[in-house]
Amino acid sequence: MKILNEMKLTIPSKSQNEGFSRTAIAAFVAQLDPTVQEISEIKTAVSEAVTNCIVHAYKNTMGNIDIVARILSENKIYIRIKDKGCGIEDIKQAREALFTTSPDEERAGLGFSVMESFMDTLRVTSRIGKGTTVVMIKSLKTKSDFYEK
Amino acid sequence: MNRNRVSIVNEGERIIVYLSGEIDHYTASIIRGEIDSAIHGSAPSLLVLDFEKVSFMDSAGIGLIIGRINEMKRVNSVNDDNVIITNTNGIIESLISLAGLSRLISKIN
Repeated sequence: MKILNEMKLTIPSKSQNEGFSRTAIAAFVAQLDPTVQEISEIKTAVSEAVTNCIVHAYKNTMGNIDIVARILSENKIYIRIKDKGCGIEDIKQAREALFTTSPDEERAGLGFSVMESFMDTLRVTSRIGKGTTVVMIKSLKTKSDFYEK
Repeated sequence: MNRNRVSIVNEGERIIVYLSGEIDHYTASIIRGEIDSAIHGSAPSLLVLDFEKVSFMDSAGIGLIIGRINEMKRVNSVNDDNVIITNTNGIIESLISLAGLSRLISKIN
């Protein structure tokens, strides 16, 4: 798959950056002229991934979140969100709907389920003490010729 | 950015919360406090959450709903759901359905 365009964004794991990061990705993706629904789905998925970095990976601490977004050929969007936080012990369990490590804090335990249902593919890799990387890919239904000229 | 205003109409027996703006992990904690002080102030038997003016929501909004269901049960000492969700759009409905809370959605105001 050809990479047609790419952006990189590094932000500290401040809760206030949740809104900024999803809006930045949405603005980048907007060049492909996605539908309102597609934009909302991407924003929501990014918001979940970034929130995970803030509340889980860098719980009680502060670290960087590295975000890469790419526009691939065939109207595909690639998004990678990476942290150097605590890592996930059991990825399979973490991906289960309604599973949460912090029910007292009103977490729904739906972060990965939302990413999975709003994006086409979700890949999660993690190492304890090293960090977690989330890769999401989505094919946009609207065909744009923005990069075909 | 993300200016959230929660407008609360307190009818005593029923509290209607008009949510607006973006609901994520950051803003949910602020909204939660405002709703809970209204609930604790008058212990209503019904809480209506109106999503018409919500421009963005992620699973933190689901956490907010589940938390308010529990809070309502606490002040009323009952086990029945006494929360109604209204004016939801496509994405918010998808999230609510993922959480298995579709039964709370009411189409009538």
